Amino acid sequence: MVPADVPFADSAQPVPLTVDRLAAALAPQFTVSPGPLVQHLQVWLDTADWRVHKQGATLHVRSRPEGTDLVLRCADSVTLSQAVPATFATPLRAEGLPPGELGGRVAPWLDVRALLPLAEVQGASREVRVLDDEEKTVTRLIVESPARVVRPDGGYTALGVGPSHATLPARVRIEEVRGYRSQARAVEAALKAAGLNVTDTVSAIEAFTALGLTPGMPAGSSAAPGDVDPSTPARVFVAGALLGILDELESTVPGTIADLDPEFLHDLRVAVRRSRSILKIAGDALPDGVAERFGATMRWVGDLTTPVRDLDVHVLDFDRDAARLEAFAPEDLEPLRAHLERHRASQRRALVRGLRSARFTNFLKAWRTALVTALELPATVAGSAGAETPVGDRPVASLGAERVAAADITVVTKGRKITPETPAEKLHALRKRAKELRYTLELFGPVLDGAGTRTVIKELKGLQDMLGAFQDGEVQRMALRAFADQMIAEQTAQRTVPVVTLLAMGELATRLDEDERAARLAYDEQFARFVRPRVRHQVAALIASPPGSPAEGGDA
Amino acid sequence: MKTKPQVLALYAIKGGVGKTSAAVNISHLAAQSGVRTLLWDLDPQGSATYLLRVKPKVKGGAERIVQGKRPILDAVKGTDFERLDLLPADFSYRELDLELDGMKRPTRRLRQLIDSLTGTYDLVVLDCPPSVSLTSESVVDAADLIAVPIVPATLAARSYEQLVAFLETLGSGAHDGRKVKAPELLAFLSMVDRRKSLHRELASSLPSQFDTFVTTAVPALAAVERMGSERLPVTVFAPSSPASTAYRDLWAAIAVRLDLAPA
Repeated sequence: MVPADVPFADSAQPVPLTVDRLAAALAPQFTVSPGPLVQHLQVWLDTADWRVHKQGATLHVRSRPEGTDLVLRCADSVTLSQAVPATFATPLRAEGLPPGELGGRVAPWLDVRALLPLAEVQGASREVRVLDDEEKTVTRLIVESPARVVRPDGGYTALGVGPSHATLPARVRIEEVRGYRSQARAVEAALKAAGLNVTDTVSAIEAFTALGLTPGMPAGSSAAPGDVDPSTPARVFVAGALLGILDELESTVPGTIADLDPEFLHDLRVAVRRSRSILKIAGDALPDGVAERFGATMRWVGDLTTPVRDLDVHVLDFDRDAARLEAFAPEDLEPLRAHLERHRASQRRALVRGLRSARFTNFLKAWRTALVTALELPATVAGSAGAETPVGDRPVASLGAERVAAADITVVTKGRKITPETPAEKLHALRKRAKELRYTLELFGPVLDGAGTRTVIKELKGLQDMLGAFQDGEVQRMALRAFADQMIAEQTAQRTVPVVTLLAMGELATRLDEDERAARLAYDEQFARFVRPRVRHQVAALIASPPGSPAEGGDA
Repeated sequence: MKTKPQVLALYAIKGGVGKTSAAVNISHLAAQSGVRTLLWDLDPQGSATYLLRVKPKVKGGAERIVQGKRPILDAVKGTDFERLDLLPADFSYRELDLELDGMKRPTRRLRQLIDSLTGTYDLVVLDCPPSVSLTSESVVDAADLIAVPIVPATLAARSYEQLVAFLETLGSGAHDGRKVKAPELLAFLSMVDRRKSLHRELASSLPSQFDTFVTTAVPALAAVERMGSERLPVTVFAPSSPASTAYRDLWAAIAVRLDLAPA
């Protein structure tokens, strides 16, 4: 028999959460029937970009004396649990999920991303049934003892910058029984009136929040900037934007080193690319020499990460590409897969050495210091002396309009010169200019007209996708050729390249060439869409009268 | 894709044969085995409702549910058991026949209401009033499987044959001109006292005489009678009793027929 007064004493809790107190708070309308105290260890899981949370679900590994299971609570109120071995380990990818309905639900959400252990909660809880005068359960209370929350070992502390451990106070959670809503409300009101700590926060959210994580917000990212004052000095705005990207970049490094999933490296490269583009677009807004000083190192980081990313793309697309073969079977390409995996392993060693190097660590520190300094510099000191207002002191809206206009005219001018005879390199160069225009729009969008920039970006996307498909086709075709040369050169007595593999690679190259040609044929249509009058009007509207300009009634 | 709930009806022409006890215990076992189960108490006496400690009150009465003026799910109550809910009876169910009679295609109405629960429940168990009525016809039309408790008695075989014939007339439309689909039948002996030779003989002969008769026999035990005072399924307060064992065997046979047995 359970003792009547079973304390969950928490010295920080003004009203101890005991069963007697619950009973007193709910009398005389209700009585209570407590269940046994259950110790548990919960490890809450999600991807770095919160894919489980975004589905409205929670996922955790629950360890109890009777065993370990994986528990999924879905947005449609379905709860699935599946027994797993006590040695069940995370991180894991979709293929590591146990077979069954639970794995079947979660795997599509993950795609290539790894499930990470984000919070570990050690505590105890007790179910207390609230009974009516027929001794029918009309509400369930889950009474949680004070719990310790930690970031699990290996735990991806780059995700968020909060504490590594925290304590959750004793609290009671109300679970409504179907058809007894008014009783649940009465119970809640009675418990709160008695000063007891009633929580309606889902356990997973409690755990994440205690560790400083914000469910739904990827590591390193901050909330949307909201309204940006268009008169903000460009230096402050650009340095702030670059600092935000630096936070995102740093958050990807542990996952990249640990090779949790390919998206960490992809996100790292995107952060580097965006930083380099911003330095090119608006680096002159920063104090003298900053853009030049760090541009070279950023190029080095980009080059450091390229070989592994290129191989990742080939590996990720491998099955899809193999399925396209008609004259040969997908299995004929397996020696290529083995070759890719071997090379990836050796390239990864070089990548990890680079990411752990003093050069990289010092770069991150120095870059952050330079940006913080740029933020804090007073206006009269920033930039070079001269009669003109230094670029960094100009209102960001004015600079943004100018740079959007310049990037846009570049794309339009170069794009108009493309004909069916134009060499491929010119289209690849146009792709880079289109990317720069995109980054320019994304950077200055919050200051100009947010909705307008989103519309232009959407129109630009079609052209970018076409140019991307065109270049990727050529790049991958050339890569296949290089792989074939490597495979032949690396043959040993134990490992030779079957002729059929080389022939299958040849067929694959033909398919890629077909993709490239099809993409090229789409150029005229996509470019015409981008330069059509409606889009031109939208771009003109963005750059004509930036917010805060004299035309808008702002200060000159 | 969500599938419609399977429907199991516990049906008997007369009362006091262990129909409600079976409905409550089978529902509990189904829920325990992972099947999301709704027990619909169609009997205005509300015995199943009483056993599960739910108040016999349906806001607006059966009329509002049958006429679709109130979503059926709004009337459902959670029980004390995970995955087992109850649609309680109340006194207005005594007029269920009248309500159904006023509708177009009255015998289809229960099935329509049950189908609206697709995705919420895997199994709906109907505890039917002991009668021959429009409600019974609707139950027969709605059910995928009808479980019939038979008390061992001299004329048990004849009673069962009459029941089978009645269900066949419903199926052919010979009764009242309405054609009702004939579901699968499963009969089982109920309230069996092994001390009585007649009971032992029938327990042996009936399953071999009718292929719809299972060999499971629910014993007449004090444990089952205690359900009324415990207000719990016997499978909860006396899980090791012969009655619980019989109900588990019965559920196993039902689960196979309804394709609800665990893989």
